[in-house]
Amino acid sequence: MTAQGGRSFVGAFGLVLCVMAGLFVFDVFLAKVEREETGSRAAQLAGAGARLLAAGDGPGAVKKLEEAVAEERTNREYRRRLAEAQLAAGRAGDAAGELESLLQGDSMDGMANLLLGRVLVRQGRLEEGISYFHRAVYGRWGKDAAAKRLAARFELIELLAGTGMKADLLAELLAVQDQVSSVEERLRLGGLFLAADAPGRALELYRGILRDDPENLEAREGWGKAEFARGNYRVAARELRAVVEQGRTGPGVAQMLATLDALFAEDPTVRGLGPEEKLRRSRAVLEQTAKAVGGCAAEGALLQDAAQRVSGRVPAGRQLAAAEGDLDLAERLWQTAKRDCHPVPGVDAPLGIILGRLAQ
Amino acid sequence: MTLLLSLVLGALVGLVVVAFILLTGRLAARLYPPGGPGWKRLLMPVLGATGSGYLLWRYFPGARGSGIPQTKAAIFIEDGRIGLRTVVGKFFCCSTSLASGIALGREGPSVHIGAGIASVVARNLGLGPKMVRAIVPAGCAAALAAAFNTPIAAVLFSLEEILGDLHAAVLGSVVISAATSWMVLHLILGDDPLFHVAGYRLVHPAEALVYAVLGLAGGVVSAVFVKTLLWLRLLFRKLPKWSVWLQPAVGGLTVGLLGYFVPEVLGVGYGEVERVLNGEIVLQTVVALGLLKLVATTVCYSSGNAGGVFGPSLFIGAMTGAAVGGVAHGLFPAWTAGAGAYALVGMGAAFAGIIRSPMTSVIMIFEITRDYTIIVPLMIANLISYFISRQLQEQPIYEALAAQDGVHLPVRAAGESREVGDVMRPVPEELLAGAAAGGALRWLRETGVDAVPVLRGAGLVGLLREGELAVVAGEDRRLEELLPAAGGVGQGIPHLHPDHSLSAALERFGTARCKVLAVVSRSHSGEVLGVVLLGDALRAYGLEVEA
Repeated sequence: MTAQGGRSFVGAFGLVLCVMAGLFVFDVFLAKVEREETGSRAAQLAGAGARLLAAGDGPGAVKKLEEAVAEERTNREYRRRLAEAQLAAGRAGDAAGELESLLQGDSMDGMANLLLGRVLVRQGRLEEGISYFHRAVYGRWGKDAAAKRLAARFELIELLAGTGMKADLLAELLAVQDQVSSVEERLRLGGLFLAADAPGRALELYRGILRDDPENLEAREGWGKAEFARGNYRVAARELRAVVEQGRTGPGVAQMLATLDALFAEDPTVRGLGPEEKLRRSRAVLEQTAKAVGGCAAEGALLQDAAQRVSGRVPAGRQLAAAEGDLDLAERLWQTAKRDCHPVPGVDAPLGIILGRLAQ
Repeated sequence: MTLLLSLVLGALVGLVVVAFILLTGRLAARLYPPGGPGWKRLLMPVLGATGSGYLLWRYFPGARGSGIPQTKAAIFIEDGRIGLRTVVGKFFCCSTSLASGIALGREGPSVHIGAGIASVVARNLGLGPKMVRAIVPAGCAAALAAAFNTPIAAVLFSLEEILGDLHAAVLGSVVISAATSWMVLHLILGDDPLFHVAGYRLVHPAEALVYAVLGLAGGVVSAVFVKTLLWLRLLFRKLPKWSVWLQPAVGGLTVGLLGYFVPEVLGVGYGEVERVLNGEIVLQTVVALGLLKLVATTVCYSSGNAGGVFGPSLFIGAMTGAAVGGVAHGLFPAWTAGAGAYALVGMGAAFAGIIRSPMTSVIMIFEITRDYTIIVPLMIANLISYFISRQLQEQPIYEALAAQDGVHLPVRAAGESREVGDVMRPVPEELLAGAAAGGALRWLRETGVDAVPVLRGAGLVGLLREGELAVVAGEDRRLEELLPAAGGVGQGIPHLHPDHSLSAALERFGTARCKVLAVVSRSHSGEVLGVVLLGDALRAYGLEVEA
């Protein structure tokens, strides 16, 4: 290459580099304009979709959100909203597909896991759904992560409470009990502990609330319910009556008080009853138990025995012994029925409590 | 030097193609925005086609059409020479026409622009014609890598379609420029595939039959597309010369009228392709869109608009696939995937049928969608489509287009299907080492050759020229007595293998300077399978030679 040729080579190469620099600036500018324009249009469409979803128009929301996603594919928030809209529109399969695709990109996406959990539960795939709820609880949430995780866990807890999975529910409640601080959350947690058959823990929570605020009627009501669940019926009745007297009528309180009244009126195991009254109550318990298990053929002999005892007269000096015999027979009838009869016969609340006490 | 130049060219072409994509996209968003008024959809393509048509006729005649036949012509006929004017014209005319809604693709023009940039830069750097011709495919690969976001397919396309040789010596520069361009694309636009597709897979082994049917349909549709386009183009070429600048407006008006009622017909339509890939368009719409796009694209292209057929072929293929898949899924829902899977395979089938680059199409679909699971059905459908299309329309589209322009591009692998084994003769007894020299001389003269290979058993042991045999013509000598020493294949006796192409054989005849060569087995070196005569090889090409 001659000197002149070399100079022209360098010149041409320099020109190419200058053109490249100019093009780079131009491209970056155009790319920015494109991002802003598509981003703005996508935001408009997503906003319209969200409004339609809030108004209950699931299919309309899906259409708008699909357009928003097509404009800005990389926006995970729009894709999550699209899945929500698809779920609302009854397209659970599409929602699941969208969320699974999102999770392929980021398996730790808390919101996507939560939404997929909801979709699967809606589809009746409870166990899979619960596993996605767990992933949501331990997933990535961005801003206000702690609060969102707690909300996801509470949603899981409500789901478990609704499906009667008490052991799982209790495990979740134990994991969350130290994270709640507000009175409302503690009250909610107390109710859930009761649903999980853990009245002792519920009682602790309610007592704690009442220490800070003795006038909190909701806590007092919860205390009453917890005592009822623990078998402390007198205390339960006292607290629940106090709550009702102060004008609060929480769900199930009236029924619980009626049960307690019936229990106090019919319980033959209460101390201090006279022989005649104890016998009357025992006979009533035996009669009701025999009636409850009457459809079950396995107890033919016991039922015959019960019928004889109920109709038989008892001399005055032997009333206490007869009452004990009645209660023993009632308990045997009940235990046999529980073992041999399918389904197990149902009994109303006071009788159930009494039979439970007899079994202890 | 070449590799450094490939690197720079890759970056430069990548930047230009990204600018081309963005400019076209932004302009289109302004000229006919989604949900905009119908009159814009009608008017803009007419204005865009008329404006760009005038510019193409008046200032940039070399920038008309797709650009790929022009690129091939530049490489094979014009020493890789593409002018700066053509590059500039292609960039702006294509941006204008594509942004106005003309139903053509951006990839072919991008390849032409990339090739043109490579040519302009290489010539201005003072490189010779051979180097310029060698660097132009690197520009093509860089352009396609950026335009389609498919670096591997871009490399394959440059070798398979542009050069027609997968083993071309320019592989290194093509790979480097494609990779560099692709990195530039990602630097500016991010890592986003051209289409987002749900994962598809073969639902049932019997589904392969449906994919075979799709290959058949893809082949037929491809042939119909190519034949219609070529026929329409011939019609336009018969119109008076003065109307050349106005002809693109016919394409603009056609697409404008269709777009007024069906907006999806406008532009390249990748949005609709993505929707159909995700199974979001119903069967009737899919069929209608496929037909309308076929009409719009063939009229737009044949009327002389600037733009390519890459993108439209993917669109038509996706619609064909979705139509076949929709019917199949309706009939056998438990055995078949949804229409989206077939749309994906249909894209590849149409590409293989129209562009005739089956390898490129398989890799391209894989790269576009980043979905590996559908690759086997894709290969089945692609190859069937390729063969059906070739049966119905022998000449590939780019060669046919160039031929209409009076340019005859080299045909890929012409004559290479004929091999040495096809013209090989059995070994005559006269050539065995123990045979009489007189007999070998008689055979030599009867066949019109000038030497004889000598065999001991089945092994090649030497080559005797006519002169050596003629000297002992009157004597009772055996051939082995005339050999200088015991020889073998490994000792430089010229020979052929049965799978050698005839063109390679002719080259070997030339270097060996004799008219007969032994054909030796590859697996048992030394075992002679037969002999090939120069006359027989020439006769295979239709040439009669005098004995």
